[in-house]
Amino acid sequence: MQRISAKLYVEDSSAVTPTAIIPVFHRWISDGAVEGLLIDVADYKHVPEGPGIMLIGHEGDYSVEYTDGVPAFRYERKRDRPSESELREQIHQVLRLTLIGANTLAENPDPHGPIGFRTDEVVVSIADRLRAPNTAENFESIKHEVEAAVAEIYGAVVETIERISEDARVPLGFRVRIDKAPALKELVGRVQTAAAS
Amino acid sequence: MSASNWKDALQGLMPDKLAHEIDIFQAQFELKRQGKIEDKVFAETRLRRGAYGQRYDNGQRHDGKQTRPLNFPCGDLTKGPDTVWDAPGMVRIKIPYGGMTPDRLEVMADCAEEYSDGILHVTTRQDIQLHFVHIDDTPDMMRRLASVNITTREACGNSIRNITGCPLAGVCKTESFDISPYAKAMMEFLLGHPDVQDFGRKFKPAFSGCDDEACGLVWMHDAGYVAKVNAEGQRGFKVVVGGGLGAVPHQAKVLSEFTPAEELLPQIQAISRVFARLGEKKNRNRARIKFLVAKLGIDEFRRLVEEERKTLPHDDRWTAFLKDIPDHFTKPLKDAVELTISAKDKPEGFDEWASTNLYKQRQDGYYVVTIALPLGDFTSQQARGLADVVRKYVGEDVRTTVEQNLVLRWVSEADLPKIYNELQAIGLAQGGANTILDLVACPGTDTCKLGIAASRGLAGELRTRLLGKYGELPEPIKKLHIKMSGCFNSCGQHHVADIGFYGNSRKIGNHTVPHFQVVLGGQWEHNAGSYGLACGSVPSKAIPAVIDMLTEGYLKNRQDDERFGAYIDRLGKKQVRELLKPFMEVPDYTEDPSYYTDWGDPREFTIGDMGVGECAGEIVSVFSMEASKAESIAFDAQIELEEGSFAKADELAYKAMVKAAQALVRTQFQDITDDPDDIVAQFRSRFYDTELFFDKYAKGKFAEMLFNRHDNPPASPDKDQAHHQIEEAQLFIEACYACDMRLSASPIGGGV
Repeated sequence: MQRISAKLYVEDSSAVTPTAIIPVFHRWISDGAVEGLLIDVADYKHVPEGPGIMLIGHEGDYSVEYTDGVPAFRYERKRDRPSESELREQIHQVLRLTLIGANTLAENPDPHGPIGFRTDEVVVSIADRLRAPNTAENFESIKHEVEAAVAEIYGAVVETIERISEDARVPLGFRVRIDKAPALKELVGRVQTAAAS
Repeated sequence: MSASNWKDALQGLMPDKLAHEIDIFQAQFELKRQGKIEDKVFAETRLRRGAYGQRYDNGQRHDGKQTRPLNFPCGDLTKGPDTVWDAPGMVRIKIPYGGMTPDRLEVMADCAEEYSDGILHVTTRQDIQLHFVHIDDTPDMMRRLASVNITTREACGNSIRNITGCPLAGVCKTESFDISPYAKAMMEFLLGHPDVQDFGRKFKPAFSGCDDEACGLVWMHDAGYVAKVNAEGQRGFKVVVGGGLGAVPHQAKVLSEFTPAEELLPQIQAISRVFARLGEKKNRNRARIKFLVAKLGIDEFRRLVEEERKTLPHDDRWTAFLKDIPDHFTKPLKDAVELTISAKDKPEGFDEWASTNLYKQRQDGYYVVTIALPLGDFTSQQARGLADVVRKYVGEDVRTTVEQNLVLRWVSEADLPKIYNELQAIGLAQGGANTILDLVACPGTDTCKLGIAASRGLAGELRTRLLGKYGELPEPIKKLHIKMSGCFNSCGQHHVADIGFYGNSRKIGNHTVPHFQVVLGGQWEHNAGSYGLACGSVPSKAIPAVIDMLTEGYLKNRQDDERFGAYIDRLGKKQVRELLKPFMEVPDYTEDPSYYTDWGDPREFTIGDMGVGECAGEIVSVFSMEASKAESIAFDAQIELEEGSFAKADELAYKAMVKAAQALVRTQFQDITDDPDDIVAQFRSRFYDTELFFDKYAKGKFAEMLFNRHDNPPASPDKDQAHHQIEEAQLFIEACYACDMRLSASPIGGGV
């Protein structure tokens, strides 16, 4: 797939100041705080309901974005990895990096205070109009892959999975709600343990 | 069966020629991988396809403490000299005369989402740029664009760039006629034309419907066209050539007061041939047509073009387009209906938005709506929403502007509140179009390899501050234009703003401080009628206070309806310099380290990302003292220019250059004399021949300005020549500062 992304919403919008994210992302580059080759920080906080503050990488971009009007942490994978041939595995890896990135931000010792993330709702998007245009058929066929990847990581039941938009121009999107979702820290522990084994 | 790649999926939808060219471009990737294409050749190839380099594409980035490698997986594979294959780049999409359709907007939105960062950026030349694009993705992106007949071809490289045009064309109250079909015809005629493939540098044409407004900015273009109708009712153009901003701005010269429309295309073909034949090829820093026109003089240039025109073999395309020009190039989708809504039923914020973002067309009952884009950016999602609005209210036409905005034309008056509501819903109903809030900035250090200071960071900061107090700003202040560039190359068009800035830097102790040169008195109106002059360099963090000082002073001291440029002229550069002086001070690092970072970037400032790394070095105080004297002499030259003493101004500008050269020579040779011949000779042998003076991008460009003036003093310089000499002196002094900074940071610098 051309691009796959996942995002988690913050618990309290007022806890996020875009300006405060900029030095955090710069520090991530210096410290190699998250996975992947990290290149630069792009500041789009002036764009209403835009990508906010982006940490541009080679394999994927991290961002604190506002496209749904509320801040969310997002990871978007830009390049296929040869080792991930199955779509479910690709989605799994994107979710893993999203959770780890969000947790790294949540644990950031920032003077503006901690940022909490909701884990009971995840948005997964596939921006690939050639291989996965936004159609009802594609939604039906891919939703099982999304559901399985989420259930695998969460160890919990997917309560609902909705198609985000029926507008064929918009990337195929899945809004996943999870019943009894574990907290972020626990989820990160799981994906790290799974990766280690 | 569905296609598995875009090439197959779009077969038959792309114009054959474009499809074939893109296939060839992609094939060259493989040849490059096999080492069968030289770096320089591949770089020019991709540039001519609109694929530019971007900051950090040499595989290094300074993190505020040290330069670190960016270990891209491609290893040694490059896409140009010192340009790593995997490093993200920028793609520029040509939008002739700024004209787009909803379909095209949607495809660009898709490309931004799948290959870029989801942002479409409108440039100061009406292009759309996508950033952070991988070179491997560019062929598919180009195919998708080609499927809606958009091209990136010759959006970069040494050829005819985008042909810009007044976005109000066809609906403007002051135009002679709609220039759009003529700009379109010229674009189609010149794209890939053999006569435009051998230029030494790029060539930018622009069209305007009238003399007085700013929309076309023709006087600052390589070729500018102003619509005219002669006494016989024949359509044609006043044609000007040799304008340009860049490091040394030139006002264009009149080539022809009236060129009939039938002669528009053969004339540009003749101009192209003369430029390709006689323009500079070896020294790219003097290769723009402005240097050729200045060297030959406009009369000789005109004679050569006229001679060339006679030799051109006939081409049916010269006039074929004329019979296809409709009476109305664009038409309304809806009837003009008067707005009858009562004040209480108007949406909240509508009146304020309408006061700045609407233009009443010459056609009764219709308006142009300006969509003010902060820093020229909008998202893919907004682009799709906008495409819906365009289809619903105006049909097919949406245009980019040189102020990095979008406009919708032919909006029926009755639809204005509805359109406001729908723009509001997609975050595109920001007010303040064409006011002080409508800041223009080039990409600067955000993404540009040549950026010195953060023009977008500064613009973002100023915008936030101005938004907070916009309601209380008096009208004369609201009307001001502020534009900024990240370096002297003028992509932010700072020369034609009331208040302009361009980025530079100064070494203070062991640290480097981002600065902006303050450029005042430029004229936006009359198609960029005159340029401002540099008045002094101020630390980046002091710029907001400088704006407050300048605007408050203007408000308090202006006479009657005096415009800002006239006010600055009346004050005089000397007094302006005095006003700026208090802001030029840089607090010690321990006292206020914020001065040592740039806007929107917490890293300690460095110019290392331009190519040469820095480490802590000792300040060369003798250099600083002498260089500051050179700055004073350059300033005196400006005063002489202002007072009409052009010869004196020219002489002082030259002396300033010699002084700066002497300052640099003295860092190596304490006993340098005051004899200009000796100074220039020493400078040449120690700094030019050794290439110590060369920076990565400009090479020896600024040194050549000194040599040229030293060897060829003008007999009787006119205003333009004196002005250019002052600009060159300023640039040379800046280059001396930069050279000193590089050398004092280098283990071999300073004492050789």
